[in-house]
Amino acid sequence: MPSLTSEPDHAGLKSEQNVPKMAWYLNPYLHIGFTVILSAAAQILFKAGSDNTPGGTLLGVSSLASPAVWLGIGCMIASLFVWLHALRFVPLIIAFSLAAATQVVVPLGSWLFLGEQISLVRWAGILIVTLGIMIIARPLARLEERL
Amino acid sequence: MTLFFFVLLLISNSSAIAGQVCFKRAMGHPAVAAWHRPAWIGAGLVAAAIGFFFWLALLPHFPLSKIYPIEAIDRPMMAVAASLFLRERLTPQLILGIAVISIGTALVAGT
Repeated sequence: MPSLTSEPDHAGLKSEQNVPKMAWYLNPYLHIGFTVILSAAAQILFKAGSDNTPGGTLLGVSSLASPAVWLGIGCMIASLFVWLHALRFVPLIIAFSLAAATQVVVPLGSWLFLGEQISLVRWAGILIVTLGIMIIARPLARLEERL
Repeated sequence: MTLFFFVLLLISNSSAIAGQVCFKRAMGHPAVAAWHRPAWIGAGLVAAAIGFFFWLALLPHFPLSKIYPIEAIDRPMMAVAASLFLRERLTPQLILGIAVISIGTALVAGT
């Protein structure tokens, strides 16, 4: 495929991809995906859990009575571990930018699971974030193909 | 938003970003001594917690829809931090992607 830019690859990646062959489930980009899903799930569980408990206490401590909130805390801890695994192999700026997918998954999840409305401007924002992630992910996909 | 609160927001973002830089330091350099890894992860957790508490201090003063879009500046801030402290290279494509994501994030968060 012809490249549109003069610099097709993220240069920082070559030096860091020192483990080209590994089991598919250890792929760092898969783990960035896990991070996104786990931290989005945590947010949705926090919201669902705290809606079902009485409010008005300091820092929302009463929400700790909800199992959903504890499941959310578990998701957050798990997301930290998969994130750290991904950081072993992927430059921080690339991992951080790809993790912006959370900005897309949280509103979509709130729409699907919590029945929240998404305004037109927000749909536009979701589209623009997705576009930005694709701009960053495309050269990475080419790099993976060649391995 | 007054200058004071904007500075609070910058401190909150900087701490969160410093936390990520520590995490990367913990994981990204295979040559570091064994005890360095938990030390960097611990430092990262402390920095992230400081960022979180500054954020909590900020929250009651504004409607979320007003400050959340400004949070989008953490993306360019992270780009600067990664290139300064981790010597990661910023390609034109990466900069374009980050700019687009920042605009999108501000739109998602601001409505």
